[in-house]
Amino acid sequence: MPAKKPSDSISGNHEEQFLAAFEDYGDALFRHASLRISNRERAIDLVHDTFTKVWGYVRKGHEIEQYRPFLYKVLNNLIIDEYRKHKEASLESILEQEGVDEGTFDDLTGSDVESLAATIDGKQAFALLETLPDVYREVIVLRFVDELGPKEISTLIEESENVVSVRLHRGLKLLRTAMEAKEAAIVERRTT
Amino acid sequence: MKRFTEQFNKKASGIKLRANERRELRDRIVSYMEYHPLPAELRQAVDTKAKKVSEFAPTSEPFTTFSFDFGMIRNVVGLFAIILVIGVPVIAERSMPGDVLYPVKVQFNEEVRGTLALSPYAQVEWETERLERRLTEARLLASEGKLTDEVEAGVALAIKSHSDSAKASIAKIRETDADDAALAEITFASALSAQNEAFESQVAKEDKTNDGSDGRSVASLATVVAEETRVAQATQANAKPSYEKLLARVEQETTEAYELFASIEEVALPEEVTDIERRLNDIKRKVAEALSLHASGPAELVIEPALPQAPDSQTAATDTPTTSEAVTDEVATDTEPVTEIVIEAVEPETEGAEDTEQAIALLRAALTDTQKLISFMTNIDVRENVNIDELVPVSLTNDEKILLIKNTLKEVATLRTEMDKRSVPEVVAEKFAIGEARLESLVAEATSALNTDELIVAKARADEALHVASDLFAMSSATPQLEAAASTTEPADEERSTESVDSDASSTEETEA
Repeated sequence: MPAKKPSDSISGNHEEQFLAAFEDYGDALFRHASLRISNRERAIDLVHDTFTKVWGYVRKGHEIEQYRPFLYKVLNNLIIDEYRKHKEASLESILEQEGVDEGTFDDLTGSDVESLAATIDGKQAFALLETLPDVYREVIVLRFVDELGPKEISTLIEESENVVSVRLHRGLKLLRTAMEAKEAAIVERRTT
Repeated sequence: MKRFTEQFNKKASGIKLRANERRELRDRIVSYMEYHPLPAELRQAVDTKAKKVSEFAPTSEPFTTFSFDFGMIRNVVGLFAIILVIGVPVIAERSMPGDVLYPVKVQFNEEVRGTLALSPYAQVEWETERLERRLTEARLLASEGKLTDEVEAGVALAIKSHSDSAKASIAKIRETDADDAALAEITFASALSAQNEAFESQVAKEDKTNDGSDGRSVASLATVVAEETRVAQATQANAKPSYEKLLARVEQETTEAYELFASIEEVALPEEVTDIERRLNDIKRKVAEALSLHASGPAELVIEPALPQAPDSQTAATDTPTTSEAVTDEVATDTEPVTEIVIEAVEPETEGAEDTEQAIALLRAALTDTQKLISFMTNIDVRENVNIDELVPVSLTNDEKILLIKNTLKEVATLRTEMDKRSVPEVVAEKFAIGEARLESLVAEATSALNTDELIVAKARADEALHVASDLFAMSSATPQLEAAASTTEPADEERSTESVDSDASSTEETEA
């Protein structure tokens, strides 16, 4: 987890703390939103909506001890709403198609994720990120771009750590499969 | 996973709000805050470190006590330490020779950075950068009229010192890897060469009457740089890196050059973009030519049917392999063609070794050009003082060379046509005839060489033909003046002779009388 930013412990009024949070986390939130929805303008709007929602929360007298996790939570919910608006496939329907129940991956650990990640070229995987369904893209971005730990991710998305590990593993596997398919297509084009 | 995370992060770090987007977003949020202000009870300072006063504090004390806010002292000391350890070096980074913090920059900041250069090659690069920093500082001071003799002497010493350090690092590299040492020498010489050209150009623009006393002349420093460049170039001329290592380095540098170009393409002027693009294409062409010349290049896997060979012809084929023929691994003894993997023969021959030498020469030229181009794109001093045509001259394509030669021959033909309209005086007739014969021969040789793609020979002959044609044209055009001068003297002579005849006649008449 990155070091605490000044906005988390700044002495000053609520406005100062709030705007400091924008300075500290604005870019990171925008990056996260861009990677999730692949639309720059819409990502900016979502970041705007995140901050205005949080401001509304502050106006109601709620105390925010740490802005970062709170901002990510609000942004994540907005992104999920965005997907629902565009009627993206739900996790359940994806799993139905694949015939897999996430509950069966009880023995999946963080080290399995590490081992799998070590076999993948990060640059190529990044380029194929937008091909992933959002349910996997979410955890991949939170883990490898926002650098949240499994526990933080589980709190954020309100799922167990085991489910987070499973989704990370599946997401990485899908990326690797997509990379292999792309390379095979290139080789085929060369030989024909 | 760390590597995966690093790669992922590196790609992701490119996604961020642009300055104007950030500004607009902040404005939108601030506007929202203004339209939805905090309630009055919340508009108070939030002091996260409220002072707590104990309710059990005694009302009177037998001793006088002093209380210190150790928290504040700790903070102040900590802040001071941060200023000392971080702030001073950061501020020192912008200092110039003569400033109070300049020694911190040179002897602390740069030395610390130097220790981070883990490999000798990185140390050579760092010493080169330090040398360039000294030159940039000198130029800046000169522009402000502050390059005093004392400062200039210090900079000259620093240039020598960094140059010696770079050479020492190169010698260290040579102990373990001669190829890397050769590449480091080429890199160092290229960097110095770019700086040397910038200085020469700057000196050329200086007022010739300037004796350097106004603190604006860099002529003395230019001499130092020129000498260091000469030594470096002489050393690197003897450097002989291997083809493979040279190719790897060229690939690395060209990738960097293309990335730099992509980053500046949007902000550079259209003519700058065209110029840089042309140089990059020239470099790409040199590399392609080197790759094709290289006789002992990587074996190429080719799947093709191996035709059945008679034993005699098979023996003959294996006795005289060439780089362009496929040599089968097995002899097919039956009549059915067999599809098998064959590898192109890679037998080193004298011709192949020469081709490799040429390939290495091309790659060296490509590497030097790339490094100078990178210097041009990244170093404002170089860009402001040197024309890219001087720093990285254009390499003409074969088509361009042919066009140039044809244009030269056209110019020769035009001159000959003009000469035909003039007359050739008797005085120079013999010389003219010899010249014409020579011209005829040169034009024929140039045309013949052009037809057989011997462009170097064709250019040499065409240039010489133009030279001869120009001389002949000058000879024939000067002739009318000579003839006119000759014709003006004749009537005068005739008059004098007529006068003498008349005077003789009159004297004769007088005598007779």
